[in-house]
Amino acid sequence: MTFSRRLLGRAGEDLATATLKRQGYKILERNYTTPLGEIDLIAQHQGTLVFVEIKTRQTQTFGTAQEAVNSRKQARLYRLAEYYLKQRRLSSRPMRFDVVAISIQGPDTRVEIIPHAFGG
Amino acid sequence: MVRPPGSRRSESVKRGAAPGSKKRPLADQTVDDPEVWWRAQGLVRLVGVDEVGRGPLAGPVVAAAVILPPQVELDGLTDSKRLSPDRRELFDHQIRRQALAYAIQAVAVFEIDRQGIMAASLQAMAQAVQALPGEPEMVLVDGPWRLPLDYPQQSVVRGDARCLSIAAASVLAKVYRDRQMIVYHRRYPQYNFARHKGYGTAEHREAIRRWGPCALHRRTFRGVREWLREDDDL
Repeated sequence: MTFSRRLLGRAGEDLATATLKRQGYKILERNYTTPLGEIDLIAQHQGTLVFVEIKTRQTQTFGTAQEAVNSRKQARLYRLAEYYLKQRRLSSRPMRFDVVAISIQGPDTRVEIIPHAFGG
Repeated sequence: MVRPPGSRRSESVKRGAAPGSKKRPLADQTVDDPEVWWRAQGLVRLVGVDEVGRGPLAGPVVAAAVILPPQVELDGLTDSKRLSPDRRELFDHQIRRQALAYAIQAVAVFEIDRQGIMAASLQAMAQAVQALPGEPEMVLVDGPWRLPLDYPQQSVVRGDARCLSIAAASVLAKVYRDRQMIVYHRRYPQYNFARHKGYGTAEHREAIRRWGPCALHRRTFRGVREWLREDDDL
């Protein structure tokens, strides 16, 4: 079974959302759009604001979190997070960046949550 | 409810001050300093914690936690990145002499590659706080991060330039790590760790290209991992 890229991304987001909810994350936003770009998920977990990047792949090979999100993308996500904090006047709230890495290969699907995947 | 600076209410104060400029006027700094605020509330066991060495391609990430006495003489102390090496050494000495308590913890390259640099640096900071004697009343953390600890804590963005005890922690961590890299230089002289301390300077990158990575290099980092060989088991 092969998905189109968009459908794959969408399926990954649904799966990530469900998995995070089960792990006690409270989902605040999905696909939060700013003039600077989009944040896949914003959640709250243990008193911390969590910005989540979802990586969905159709391969078995899993890289490290650093490999999944390159440094340019990390810097961009940090700016997006700052934008969100400013918008919501939450500037002093502690935050972190998690990556949810999903591999979909037919019926064999793996979901991995990587907390503190990167910083600013 | 009265809130400490840096919490939501005082943001308006911050926003009003010289937007865009990195240096805020002096008068604002006391208003903007959570350390001063907490001390005014009568807290004594106030811990500043900071970490050093998130960026380098080699070597550990080092964190320090410091409790300063209410009356302390550290004029001119600020963020370790803005102090010359000589002044850092001087402050290092003065902080060690005056601090009520301090602790320094390193998290090794192995752990950095295993958990990622962000998690490793949080671990270093948490370990440094836990290595202090007694229970902190409040932990001031540099940056917008939260430590995996049950003590009360406040995240302070640009804390190393705003709070004295975080600045002190940044100096202890920086000086400790630099010394450690000089020791490592003797073991692996071909990289010249004594000069760049593991940071990705042109000289360092060239040495990695020429000699390949050593056991101190962070194998998951770009700039290192491209140079690993299949049979590398450092």
